[in-house]
Amino acid sequence: MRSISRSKKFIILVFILLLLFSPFLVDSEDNIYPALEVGDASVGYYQSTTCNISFFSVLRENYRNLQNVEFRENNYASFDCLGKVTGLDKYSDLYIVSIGSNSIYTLFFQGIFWCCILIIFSNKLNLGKVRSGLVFVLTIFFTSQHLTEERFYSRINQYYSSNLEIGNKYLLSIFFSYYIILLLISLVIENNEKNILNKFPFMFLVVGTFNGFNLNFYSLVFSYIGLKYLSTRRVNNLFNLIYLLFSIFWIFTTKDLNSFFDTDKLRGFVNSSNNIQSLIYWIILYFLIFNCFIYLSKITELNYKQICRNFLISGNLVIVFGMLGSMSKLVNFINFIIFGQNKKGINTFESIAGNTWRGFSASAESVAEFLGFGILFCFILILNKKIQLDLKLVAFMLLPLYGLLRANNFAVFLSMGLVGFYFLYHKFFRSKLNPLNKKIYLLVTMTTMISIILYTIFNSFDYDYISKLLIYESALQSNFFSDMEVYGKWLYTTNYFENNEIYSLIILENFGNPSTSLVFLTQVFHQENFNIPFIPNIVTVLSFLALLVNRSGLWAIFIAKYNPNLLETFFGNGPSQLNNYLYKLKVNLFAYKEVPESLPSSLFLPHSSFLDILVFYGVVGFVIFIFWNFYLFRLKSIENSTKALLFFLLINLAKSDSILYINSFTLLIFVYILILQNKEKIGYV
Amino acid sequence: MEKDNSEIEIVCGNKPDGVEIIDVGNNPDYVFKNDIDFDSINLYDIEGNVISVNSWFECFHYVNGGWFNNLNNLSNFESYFLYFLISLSVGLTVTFKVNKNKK
Repeated sequence: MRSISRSKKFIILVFILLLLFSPFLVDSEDNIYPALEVGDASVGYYQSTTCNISFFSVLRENYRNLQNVEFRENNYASFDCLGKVTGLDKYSDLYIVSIGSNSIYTLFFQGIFWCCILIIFSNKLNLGKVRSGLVFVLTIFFTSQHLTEERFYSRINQYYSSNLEIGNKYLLSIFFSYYIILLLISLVIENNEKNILNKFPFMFLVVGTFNGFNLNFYSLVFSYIGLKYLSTRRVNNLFNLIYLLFSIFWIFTTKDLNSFFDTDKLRGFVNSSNNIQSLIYWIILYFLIFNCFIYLSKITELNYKQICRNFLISGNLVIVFGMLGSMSKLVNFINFIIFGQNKKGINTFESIAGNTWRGFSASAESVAEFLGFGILFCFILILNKKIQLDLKLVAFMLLPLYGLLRANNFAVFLSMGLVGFYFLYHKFFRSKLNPLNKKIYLLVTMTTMISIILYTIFNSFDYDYISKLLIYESALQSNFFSDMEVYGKWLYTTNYFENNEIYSLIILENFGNPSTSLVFLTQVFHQENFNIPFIPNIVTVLSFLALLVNRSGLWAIFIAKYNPNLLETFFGNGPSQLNNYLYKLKVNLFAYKEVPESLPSSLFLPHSSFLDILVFYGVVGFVIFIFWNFYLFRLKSIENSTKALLFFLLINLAKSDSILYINSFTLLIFVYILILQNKEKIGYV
Repeated sequence: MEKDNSEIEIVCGNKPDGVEIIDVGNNPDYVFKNDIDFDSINLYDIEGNVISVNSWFECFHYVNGGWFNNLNNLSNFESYFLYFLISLSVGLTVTFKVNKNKK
């Protein structure tokens, strides 16, 4: 194919974008109603002239008056209403203008747009390489999600129909939209698979969640690569065998057809339903994604300089669009559609929950980890003289640093400081010290740090309090004394703990009420069951760690809620299966200490990616995950800095749910691939 | 949005004797009286909302306001879009196949 210059490709992209956006620019064909200024007087007008006036017409009439106007997508509306006003409502001082954004059309719109971006940044495009066979198989697979997650999709689009008949326009439209998008993905991947991972930092800018869909664009990309790898039959048999074994166990986990998770901010990368069909869909999806990463680890040609640049560009754009979205509700709406956010950006500069600003991202923790990782990655490259430190580079680090400060993630700062300190030490002192002095130096540093932490904590709390903390707070959040008010519940529970009658409270008197995980931890804590002299009880250690990372209240709620049976304890519920965790045991949460007041009524996630792994893959999966990371740390590497990046990420994942987002999940996999590509042929450290 | 009488009669039937047509407007307090001789009809609006009308006058009011009784009215754009998608799929597949055979 004759190569087209990047600027021409960019012009074509703008043209395609305008074409796709055209239903939002023009009024309906026979429209006789002019757009009016949005206000009290026009509420009735807009409500009775639905599907006529375009989004652009309203904008043109109100661009001076957008402070109190918010645009919201109305995915349920028909094609006739696409890009047109479908209603106007007033909530206190805010006017909400609903814009028809039929989910089938936006699937096509977003898919084509993101594919075009990939095509623009592709180095070569040979049209003959497209593999339509793989595309066809994946098209059927992804269309099947509309049958397996019927409850999610039926409430999104008014044309939803699960009838498997040739006249079902809904399913046919979905099928052909996927087919076209996957054809374009095939075109990009078949020509650029070796360097596609170098561009992954842009996953934090173009988030890729299809509007009105529980599907992410990158799931399509990774599934294509995974299926391609599987079709070569040179697959990793050990991994696939273990995954198959887990899959068999997952089939027998608890199913509750009544429970439904609306996916909230996890949309696109979590199962909404709790039935066998949707479980199989997600098992296959993850199977393909994991195989994709195994394949990429073998073929990717990492370009450190390019990755650093992409981290900084993407980080800057994430902050810029986040700030623009904060200033303008209109930009916030456009960001949501164009970048495929799974949750709209924050529409204020004020921090949420008193201290964090998530900006563009659905999660303040996730975006802070991304920004911190990007800065750290570039910092290490500078120290290792892989890239030159210049003014341009420093300038590009400023906005990500600002975003990091606003996200106010202490763990990111701490881990960045630790890793940065390690590298400075490594760079400037290590070569000047002999091995014995090096060990003494490290021992003294570690002992001092641990002593300071222990002194600070034990100066504030006594040992007895810390050791029971997790169980105590978990008991408070459990269904004990449920007929009492918050204060009475607190008083009775506290009395039991002060009198050391924990076993009696949780195991004997409230038999059947607490979660199985709380019962298990209580039994472990009970001295008569587990008492190894001079070794702290594991529950005490967990309580101490939770206090250290300010997660005692939140992890206590996890323990109060997490109620697996024996099979689920060992093998989990399956990838992206949160339904059993969320709804199997209903507990009456209440605001207490660091538990925010809004939390009891909102989505409550485990607040640790390790706990997420425990829910998805059980104790066996978690142990495999721990061993896998130990294995990587023990590998003899050409470049040790890669392990420091893994350390940074694991520290942060321990206290955040970032692994539930496909971009953060890919960040972790990227570090694994970095380490694997840096390992020496044989040997361990 | 005024509709002619023939369209209203197609959807609601002939106007019964004694029914007086008044302008209800957008008055939310107005209550339509049920007509036991009138077979209920489901009407749809362009957003897919459904309403069941129980009198000729109620039917007249909604049809005159743009409601209709045939869901097919909703799906024209959807059909055109589907045809477009099918055409694009075929076009792209053929283009890629032709280029593959050129190798």
